[in-house]
Amino acid sequence: MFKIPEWIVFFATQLSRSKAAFLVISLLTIAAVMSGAAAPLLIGRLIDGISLHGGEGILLLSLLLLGALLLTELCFSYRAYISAKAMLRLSYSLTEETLASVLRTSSAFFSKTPRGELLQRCTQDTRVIQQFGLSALPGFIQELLLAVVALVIIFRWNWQLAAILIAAYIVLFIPVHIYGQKRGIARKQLVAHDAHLRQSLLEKLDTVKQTKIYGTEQQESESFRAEQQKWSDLKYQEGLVESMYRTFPRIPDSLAPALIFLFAGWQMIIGEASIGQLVTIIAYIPALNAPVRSFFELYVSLADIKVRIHGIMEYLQLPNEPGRQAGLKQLDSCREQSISFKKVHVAGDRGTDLLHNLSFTISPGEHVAIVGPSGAGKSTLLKLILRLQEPTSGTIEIGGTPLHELDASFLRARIGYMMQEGVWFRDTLYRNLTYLARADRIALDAWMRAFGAEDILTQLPDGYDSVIGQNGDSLSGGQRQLIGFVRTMLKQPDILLLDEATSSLDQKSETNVYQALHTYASGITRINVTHRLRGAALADRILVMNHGEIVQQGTHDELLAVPGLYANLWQQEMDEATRGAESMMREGGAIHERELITGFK
Amino acid sequence: MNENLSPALNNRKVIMNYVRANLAPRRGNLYLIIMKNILGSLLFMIPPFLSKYVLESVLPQQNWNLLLIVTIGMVAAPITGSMMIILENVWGRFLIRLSASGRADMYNGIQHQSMDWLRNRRIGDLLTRVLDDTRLITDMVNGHLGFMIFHIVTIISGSVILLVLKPALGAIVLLLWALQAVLMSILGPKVKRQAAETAKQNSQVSDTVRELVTSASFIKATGQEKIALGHVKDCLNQEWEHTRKSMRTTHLIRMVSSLLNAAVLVLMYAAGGWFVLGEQMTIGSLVAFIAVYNWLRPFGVSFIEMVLDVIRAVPAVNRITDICFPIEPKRSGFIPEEALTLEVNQVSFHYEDRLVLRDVTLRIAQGSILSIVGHRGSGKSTLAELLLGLRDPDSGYIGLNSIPLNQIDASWYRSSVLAITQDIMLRSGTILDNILYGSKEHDLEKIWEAIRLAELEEWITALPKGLYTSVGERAWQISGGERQRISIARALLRRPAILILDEATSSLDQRTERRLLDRIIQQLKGTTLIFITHRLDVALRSDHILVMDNGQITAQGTHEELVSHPGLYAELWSEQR
Repeated sequence: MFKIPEWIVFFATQLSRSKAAFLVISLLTIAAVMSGAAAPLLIGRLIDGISLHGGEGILLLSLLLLGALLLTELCFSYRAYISAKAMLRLSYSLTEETLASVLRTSSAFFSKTPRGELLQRCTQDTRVIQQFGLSALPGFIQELLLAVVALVIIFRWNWQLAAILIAAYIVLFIPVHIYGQKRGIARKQLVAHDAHLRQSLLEKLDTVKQTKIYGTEQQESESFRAEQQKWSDLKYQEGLVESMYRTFPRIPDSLAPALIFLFAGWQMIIGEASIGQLVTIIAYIPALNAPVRSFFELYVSLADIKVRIHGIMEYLQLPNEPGRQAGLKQLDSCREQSISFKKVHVAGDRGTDLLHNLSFTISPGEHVAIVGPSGAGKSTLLKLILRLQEPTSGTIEIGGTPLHELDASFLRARIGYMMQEGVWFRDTLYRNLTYLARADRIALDAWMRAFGAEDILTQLPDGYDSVIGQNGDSLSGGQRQLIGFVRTMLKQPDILLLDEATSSLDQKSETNVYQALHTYASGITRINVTHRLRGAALADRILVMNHGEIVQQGTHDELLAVPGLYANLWQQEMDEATRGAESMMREGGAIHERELITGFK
Repeated sequence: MNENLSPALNNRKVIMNYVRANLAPRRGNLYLIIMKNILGSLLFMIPPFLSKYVLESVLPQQNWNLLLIVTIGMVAAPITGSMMIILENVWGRFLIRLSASGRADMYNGIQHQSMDWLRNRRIGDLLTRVLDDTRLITDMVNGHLGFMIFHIVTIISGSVILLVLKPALGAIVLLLWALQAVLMSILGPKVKRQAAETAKQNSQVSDTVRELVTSASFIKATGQEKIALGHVKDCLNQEWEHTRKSMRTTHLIRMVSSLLNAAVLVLMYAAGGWFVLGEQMTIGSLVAFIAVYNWLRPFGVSFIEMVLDVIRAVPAVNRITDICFPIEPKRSGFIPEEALTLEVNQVSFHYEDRLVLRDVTLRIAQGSILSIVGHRGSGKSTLAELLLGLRDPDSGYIGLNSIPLNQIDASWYRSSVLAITQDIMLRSGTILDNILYGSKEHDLEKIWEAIRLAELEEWITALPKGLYTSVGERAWQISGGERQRISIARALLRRPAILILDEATSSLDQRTERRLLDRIIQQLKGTTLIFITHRLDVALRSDHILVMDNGQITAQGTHEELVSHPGLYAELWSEQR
């Protein structure tokens, strides 16, 4: 059974959003057709006036003709303007909706999808529908009606000729269809390669520092050149098919008059037609060919749109992540509420659990540190609280409400989550700091001072108004972590989740950060995943994790008092100084064997 | 302003030279394309004349054979003309290739710009310029210009025919063309200006969306979707404001031009009628004249569109010119002998008025281990960038074995002096792809050796796909510690003579970090290791420690020496205890 392709349905629904524009366009079309139809009549009267009536009333007729023609042109111009405007608007909303849709899906999507493809589809492909005029459809229908009238007239005069013409058009459709498909394939390849180019250039520019450090400029440029060469080949192929395709509308343009001359000429030679009839029929040819030409145009732009819409639809139809389903509870605050894990499991890739049977409760305002070797599942635990990941079984509750009943976006807006590497925009320090929440200078200054980050301001050329570079790269890793704390605290979160958020800080700065949090944010529940035990020691309670399980918990002193993983880890950290000193003694000879460096000032 | 002018001029020269050098050998193709368009235009004029011939001569003669031949000609001429477009494609293929290699050269020029220049550019904007603006120009040159020639030939020959048919009426048509030219000269600059503005907005949108998709995980994790989308919406609204203006101008031009057309048509009827009344013209020749004019009119209309397109493409040319940089030949020079001593003598460096390094002097012998410690912002990373040759010092000397850095062979230096930076830059692809970046190593054993040194063996062997595990976009699928260790393995595989590790182990837990450091120090005996760090674990393992404060070396010596004297190092040490 014939089924309307999904993309057509989608496209039609999109178009139907600009109903008002569509209505105006239809009205303008009707007005244009009417005044346009009046023009030939007036011209006829004008010619008659000149040739038969010695010029009587031609001034009035000329003025009327001028009026009719001007009205037609005005209608057409205004129609084109409205159509262009509506389509532009449409392309914008499509961009917005596509982006909104990808943001509703799970985070994993962004690590799997090349950003070049995302950029291509969300900014370039959505624009392509702009070239499709909203007036194309009413225009086409109008032309089609005129063509039917013309065909009926020709049919009444000579049905064989009409049949030949119809047959010619039908035959013509076959190569059009074939080349249309070829063109579609060529176009699809080109669009895909365009996305690839965008991705490749984006990645190269993103990591240009690495290129410089490794001195791989030549390889980079060669690989880009190869990709460009492929682009030029694809572009050429597409151009060829396109040219072939564009040749077809020429055929009816020239074939139809020729057929009519041939047929009518034959009729005249055998004495069955007059030259007057021939001239009439020929006058109808433009009407006959107009819809054919529009059809070609329509077919071309639709074929192009089809390729792009498929990509856009793919994004629009992405499933919402579990935390963004409709009807979830939108929490405004989760301050002073406990967090409890009840028999939480998270299955891993290869049979082993990432997290195994986790049960614990964190009281409101408690400061909990989570320590353990890498791969113990510490980061996963934080992601569960944010609903960035869902447990395989078990429940997590905030203030007694199961997490799976809460809208993730609202929840996350209330949680301050800091990772080791924050995300920074190539913009001013001010915009970066106030990205999560608006703040005035006083609040900014206060937090900058609290975290000991004022020195950053004096280092930057324009203080808060300095641009901090691509992903903040004019700041050091430690500086970025400090301003990360400022940014997060300005948001006044109810819960603070830290995932190795102080790893790039020196000991003094780290201690200072914890003290600041203790002084100014003691009401906030804090969960701190860290591998630096000196920081962990400051917590109210420490959870020690290993292989996805909590193996120990208690305060620093309690944990040190019993033999176990924590005591081992602590011992190792403390041993370092002595071990270091010892190793120097041990390797002392070796050092002398190495050529000694001479440093002088 | 003058400073900005000269690079632009320089860039323009680059483009002109490029175009000249590449178009000259293909002159033949260009002539062929021009000829094709002239011929094609003439072919398209044949059918109307043939129709006239059929009506006036063939049919009255009732010559069946002649009719057949003429009608075949009527079909063949325009189709032949159309088919010639294919030839134009073939002849114009070099233009697409030229554009492709031009893009590659553009990228090459960009990547050779200074770090500061690159840091100050929006990547989304560069993307738009390198990919979209060039595509616009390519489409313009390949096809569009040829088609314009086609139109010009048609319009000129059509106008000549009209002038021959009736000079007075023909003059009216010339008047129409003249009025349209005036219209374009008045509004053309506005179109150009607005196109430039729109292009700027486009690139802004592109960069905003790039920012959004790059930071999507952060936006999601902080529940900022609405704000991020709002930002995109603002950008689109801004673009809308500009695009609407330029749309209005374009449509104004179209409207005025079509109104002019309509008025001229009426004028023609009126003037023609007056001529007929004055018996200076027959009604038949008036109708014929108007028929020819009606055939010509669409060409006039679409020519205006083409001119508009060309005007709109001009800003793209400027945007491209801005980022076309001449490619300087790679510096070749001395290759220092073995036993490399890195020398830095009285080096100072400013960054935007701020003194970042002051009078830094040091000597590092081959195979030694140096730690540079100090608070954040003390100039440690800048020193590393100077040592890597990413920046040039304002004063002072940096060199190897008494050869100044700028006289050392550039590719040798790049392969011998390497850094692992704080910002980990990995790319999509597999773990192996990333480790092999910039290396031609094929020996799997060597690769595994680097992996073992970077403490990655256990993790990689546990992965179902091992080395061929995909790391995802910007390696977001793996954790920070793993990313860092991959970047370490990548550097170790290249076996540099001097390796700078700038906070390169900050994401690792202490146990892993220590194991890794011990192994590296043990295995890379001949390699000079320079650690930039705030973690004194590393300092303990160094032969020599430099303490930096405020861009200066304030103390140096071994751990023991530094600990025993009061100072910054002793302070840092006691904090960590």
